[in-house]
Amino acid sequence: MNKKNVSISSVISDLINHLNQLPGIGPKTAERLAFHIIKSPENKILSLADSLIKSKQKLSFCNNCFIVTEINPCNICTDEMRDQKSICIVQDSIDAYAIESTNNYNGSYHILNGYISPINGIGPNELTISSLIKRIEKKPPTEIILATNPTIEGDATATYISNQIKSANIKISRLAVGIPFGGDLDYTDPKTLTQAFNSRQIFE
Amino acid sequence: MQKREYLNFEGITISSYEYGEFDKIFNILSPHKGIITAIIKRIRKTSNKNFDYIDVFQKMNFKASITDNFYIIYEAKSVETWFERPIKLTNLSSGNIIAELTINFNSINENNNYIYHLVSKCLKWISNDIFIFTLVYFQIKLLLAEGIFPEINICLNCNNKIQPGDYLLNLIESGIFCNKCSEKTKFSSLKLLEQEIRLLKHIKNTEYDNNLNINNIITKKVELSLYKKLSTYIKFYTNKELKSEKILFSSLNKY
Ligand SMILES: [Zn+2]
Ligand SMILES: [Zn+2]
Repeated sequence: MNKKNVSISSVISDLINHLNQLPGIGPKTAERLAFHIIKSPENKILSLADSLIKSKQKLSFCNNCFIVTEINPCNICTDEMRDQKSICIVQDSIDAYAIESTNNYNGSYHILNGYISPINGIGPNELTISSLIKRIEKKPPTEIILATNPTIEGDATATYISNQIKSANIKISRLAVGIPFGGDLDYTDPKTLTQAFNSRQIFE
Repeated sequence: MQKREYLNFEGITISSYEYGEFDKIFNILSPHKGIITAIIKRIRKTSNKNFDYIDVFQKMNFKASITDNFYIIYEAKSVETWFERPIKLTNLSSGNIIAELTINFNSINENNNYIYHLVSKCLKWISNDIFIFTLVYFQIKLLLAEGIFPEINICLNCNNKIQPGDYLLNLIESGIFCNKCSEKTKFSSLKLLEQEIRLLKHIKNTEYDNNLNINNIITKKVELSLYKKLSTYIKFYTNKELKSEKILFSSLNKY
């Protein structure tokens, strides 16, 4: 028998295919992860499988802000100590967690579940923008913070939302773009440097 | 043995996607090699002195290392940026349509330099808020460059000269049939109105320069209907839907 005709087990190829479909995982990484899983002790893999299943069974999106949550509405939306009149708009739950970890913001969030990307067929209707508008009409906030990524698409998303919700009584702001802490002016690209210069603040 | 080469080139970033944890892959239109697909490592993580801010719709000077046709960009310096912030959805989706069409028609041939300057010019017009005219212009010039512009001067069947009027454009035969012969072309046909044929001929015979003046442009209604018909014609050839189109149309209704 010709050795080259021996095909890889379908269980392994299924595993590789599934891993390959995850974002940021190419075929080589998928292969490496698959063989890592195969070599790992059974209890470790069972507990991994268990958390995968639980993540689907127990987690859902908050009906109000669309953050990933175990209870609905989520802890943030029901927290009376938080300023529910401030809404910070982010692309994904993970961005809200990043802001939460700063302990610097005490308002609520709205998760878009992505950003506008026409070339990928993602327009305003594919995001949670209509729910955001209904939410604002029902309970008008005093402040909206647009915290989408400073890319062309993130910026188009912020512009679109701000055009939809323009109202005299809501203060709309966009996260500042600038030089990172520990950064070097000399190493900063001209566009970021210009933006940082233009949004400079009074030094106190 | 794998040989590593180096290439310096000017290019226009027309689309991108995230790759791995920190990297991004860009489709870069070049004047000589068509679209170059290249990776920029760690671009989402750190700033680097070798890179100006980089996103889609920028003309930049790139330095790449190439192994086995795999391009890694290690320097990118801005030449021209068209889309100033804040960017509107209509501008973004129009730019995306140019990108999708460029990708769908991409091949390496003697037209690359022409297409490169065409894309550059059209992105500039779009950033000046000239949308549908630019897209129709791009469609027509692309069809001409690819050699699939339809025959609109003589009837495909009897060779008689086409007089002003409304006619059927046959998708399979790629041309117009006169009214006497139009019985033969009921299938796969699109009706072109007299004004649309006039605009089609006008753009075919005119090269506008970079500084297009919006006041010179003909009625909007004809532009949009011609755009939609040419889009059907192009889809017949490429067999590909444009994802950005639906979003452009809904944004046009909003403004
Ligand atoms: Zn919530
Ligand atoms: Zn005829």
